[in-house]
Amino acid sequence: MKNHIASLALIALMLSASMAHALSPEEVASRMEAASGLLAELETHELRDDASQDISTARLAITDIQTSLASEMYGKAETTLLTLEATLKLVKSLLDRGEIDQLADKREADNVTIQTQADELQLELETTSSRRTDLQSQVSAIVDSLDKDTPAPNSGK
Amino acid sequence: MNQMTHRNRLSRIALPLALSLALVACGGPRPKTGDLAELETLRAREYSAEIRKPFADEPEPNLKRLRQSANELVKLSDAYYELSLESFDERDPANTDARAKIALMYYRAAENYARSADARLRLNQANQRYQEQLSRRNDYQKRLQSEQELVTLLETIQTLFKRNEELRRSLDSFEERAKSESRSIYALQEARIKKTEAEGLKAPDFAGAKFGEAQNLLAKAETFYNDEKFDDAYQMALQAQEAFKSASDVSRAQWTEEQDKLLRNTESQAIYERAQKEFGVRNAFIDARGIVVVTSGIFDGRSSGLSPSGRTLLDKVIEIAKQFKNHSIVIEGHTDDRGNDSSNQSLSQARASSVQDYFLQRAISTGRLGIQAFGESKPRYQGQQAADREKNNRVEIIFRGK
Repeated sequence: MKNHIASLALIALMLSASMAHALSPEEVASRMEAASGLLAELETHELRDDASQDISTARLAITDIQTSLASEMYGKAETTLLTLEATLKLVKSLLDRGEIDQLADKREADNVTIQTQADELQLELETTSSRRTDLQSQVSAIVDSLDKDTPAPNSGK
Repeated sequence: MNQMTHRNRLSRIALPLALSLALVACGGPRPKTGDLAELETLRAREYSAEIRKPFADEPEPNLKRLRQSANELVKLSDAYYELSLESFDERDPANTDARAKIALMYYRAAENYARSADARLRLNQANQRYQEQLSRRNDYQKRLQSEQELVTLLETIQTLFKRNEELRRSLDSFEERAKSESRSIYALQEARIKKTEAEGLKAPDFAGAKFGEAQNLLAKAETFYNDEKFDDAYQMALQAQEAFKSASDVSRAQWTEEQDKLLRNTESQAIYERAQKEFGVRNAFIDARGIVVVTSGIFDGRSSGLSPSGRTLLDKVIEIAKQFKNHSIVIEGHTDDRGNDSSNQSLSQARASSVQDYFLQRAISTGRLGIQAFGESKPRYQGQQAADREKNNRVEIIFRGK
């Protein structure tokens, strides 16, 4: 519940800032740096190719922000930053989803494999059990025949 | 896939745009276009409820985190959507588009997390199924290993039993063979003994054909034995035994006769040599009757009574008779030519009987003894001198082979 409230507060802060263009140039620069770090991290992700277009857009947005800041077009810089942040969220969500999808796909494939293995083992177990039963019968028959052939102690007296 | 997505996007954009234009033309409300229109389309979809699904009670932490992310992002999207609507109402297209774009991205991100939650659920279920299958597989594997160990053990037991049976059969076979070999060796040995016996009985001379046949049988038996055909060797050796026995039986009578003859000849020679030694060559000799020992002067005068010296002389003869029992003894009585023939015949008879009695007294059996009386008819000394005449009063003892 506390997390929920905190997230709502953050949203409110972000929205108020975006609506009033209240971010200072330093804040814009600072958040851009943070976004840039996150982007660099996302660019190394295994599934980065799945979000290549958005990553390229984000990279261009950073350049755009830097240009805007340099030109003192702070309103544009802020708007671009907010868009960039949303883009990065989108990229991250895409990569996270891809990762989980991949895990689920892999595990489902593993399931097929292990189920096949289990089925094969079950079959082999049935065959081996049958073979064991046969052998038991054969050995019992031999033992019985030996018992018949071997005179009991003190017999024949 | 990209083409499909593009078409979908076009249809999503083109349709609201066409509707908006139609409304403008008709003088209706101002249409929404671009990202705002797309966002509204997305928000109207059924899946929107899934994105906004409450997460507080979700027990699975990963799922909860994903749903929470979806919730937060959709709320951001909602906020920007509201701002976008405000800008739209204020006829501020730049802010409308910018905010709608941000709202759309947050919405898509939220949707991605909702989809991720679905995937997570799928993953969790897959994990559960995987664990079930893994457990099932491991269980089968364990049971299979146990069964395989049992099978190996049983196969080993079976192999040992089979080997034991083979060894038992081999031992039986060996014992049987050893018995058979021993039996054949014994039979061969018996046959060889019978052969030696037959040879001793001069079977090659007296029963040549039968002996030859027996030898052939023995040779065959030995060949069978060398070829390790012990049963055949045994049978053949038995036949050889019988054949040698038959040859021996045939030979035995002739051999016995020959041996007797030989024995007699040997005894005769011995008697002759002994008699000559005891009585001299004049009084011991061989003629047609046999070995003759002449004993003169053994009676008292012209009687039939034995003189002491006569007894001594006869004792030497009796000793010879006892030593060589395979000869019969004939005692011939003789007289000189004094007196008539009849009295001399009687006297010679009495003399022979007297000597016979003496032999009987000295344990010479009756069956060996015989007497003959010749009176004066066979004088040994022809002279007219008293000494020659006296020497004709004699007994001649003849040893004859039986």
